[in-house]
Amino acid sequence: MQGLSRGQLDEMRWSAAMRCVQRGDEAAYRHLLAELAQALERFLRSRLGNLDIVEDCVQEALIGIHHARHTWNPERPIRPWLFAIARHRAADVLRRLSAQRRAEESRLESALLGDGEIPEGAEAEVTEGWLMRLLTQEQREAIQLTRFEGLSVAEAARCANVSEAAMKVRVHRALRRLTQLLEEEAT
Amino acid sequence: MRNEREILIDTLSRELAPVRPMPRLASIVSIWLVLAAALVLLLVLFAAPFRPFAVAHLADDPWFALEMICGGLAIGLLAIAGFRAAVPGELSPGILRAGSAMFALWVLVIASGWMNPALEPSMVGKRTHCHLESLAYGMPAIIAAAWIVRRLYVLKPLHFALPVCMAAGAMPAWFMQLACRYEPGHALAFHVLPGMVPAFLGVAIARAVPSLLQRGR
Repeated sequence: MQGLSRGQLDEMRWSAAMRCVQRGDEAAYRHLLAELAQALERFLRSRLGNLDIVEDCVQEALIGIHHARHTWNPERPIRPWLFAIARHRAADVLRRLSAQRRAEESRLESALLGDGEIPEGAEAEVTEGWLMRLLTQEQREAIQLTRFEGLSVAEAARCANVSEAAMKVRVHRALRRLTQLLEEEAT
Repeated sequence: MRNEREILIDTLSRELAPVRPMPRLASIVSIWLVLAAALVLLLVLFAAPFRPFAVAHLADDPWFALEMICGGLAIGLLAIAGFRAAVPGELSPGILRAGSAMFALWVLVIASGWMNPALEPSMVGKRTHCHLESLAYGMPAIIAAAWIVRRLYVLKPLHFALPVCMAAGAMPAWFMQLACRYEPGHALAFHVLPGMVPAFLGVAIARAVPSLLQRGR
């Protein structure tokens, strides 16, 4: 075991556990999922920062692993298989978020809200993941204001000194770009 | 009080059932290719025999042999690329690029026949409905591929659908180079192009209804 990297040790442990899981070992599965959840959370936070959807991405990835467990070939490494599922499930979450945001803003527009109400679940701490650094300055600012600091689009637009429409476009493009970056990383 | 993640892990663990790991991807692709090609060949021969001396030309005419080799390689590489995209972590952009490049080369080699045909263009072997045969004979392979992929776990349906549908659509066109009259323009317009119609259809369906390829999601 000496001289093996963390990744290699994970590979050995997870491969052995997944073989047991494919045979129906519940205890091994429980232990494996708990360990994978932590590893996936680290993986996703390193890319997305402290976005409040990281936990959703982790859970989606676990569900994906559950449904796909028959597709892992014991003769092949497990880490590429695991992280491909994690990346794509996270990209799906980002896409849903982008669609939800567009629907939400459309509802807010028609209801003529604009009183600066702060959405639920606002995060205080900002830690940027490395994918976030690949966004443009404007896109990063848009995500930081609306997702990390929890401002409404109207408030974020005022902070950034742009129109609400421009801020909506920036948020939408930022989420789409994050989705693309996650998917490109998988290929 | 347990958090959502713990509840999810508990639920997934209790739902765990033994699974049989899927067969090796190489086996899946090989079986699909062989059965699909065999079916297309049977259908082609059922409609009418090959053009006279078509198989002999493979040995006698190197440029014709090259044309057929390019087509065969394109079909194989595209099939491999498509099915690899249906297993997490196995997507290979390199194989997809190689398959696409080989397909383009196949079309170019056929098209180069306008200036320097591999064989003497003629009406010998002309089939009345070769364009319909090229269009229809690839469909069973596409349907079989869709049935197989629902048992895998495709993350990006389009990355599976496009190369596999191209491979399936190109098979009848490839056989038509042996079965129908030889003439470059005829090959491109009545074999290759109709063969790509089910390919575009398959891609459009995968794009519109990805859940068709993603069982349980």
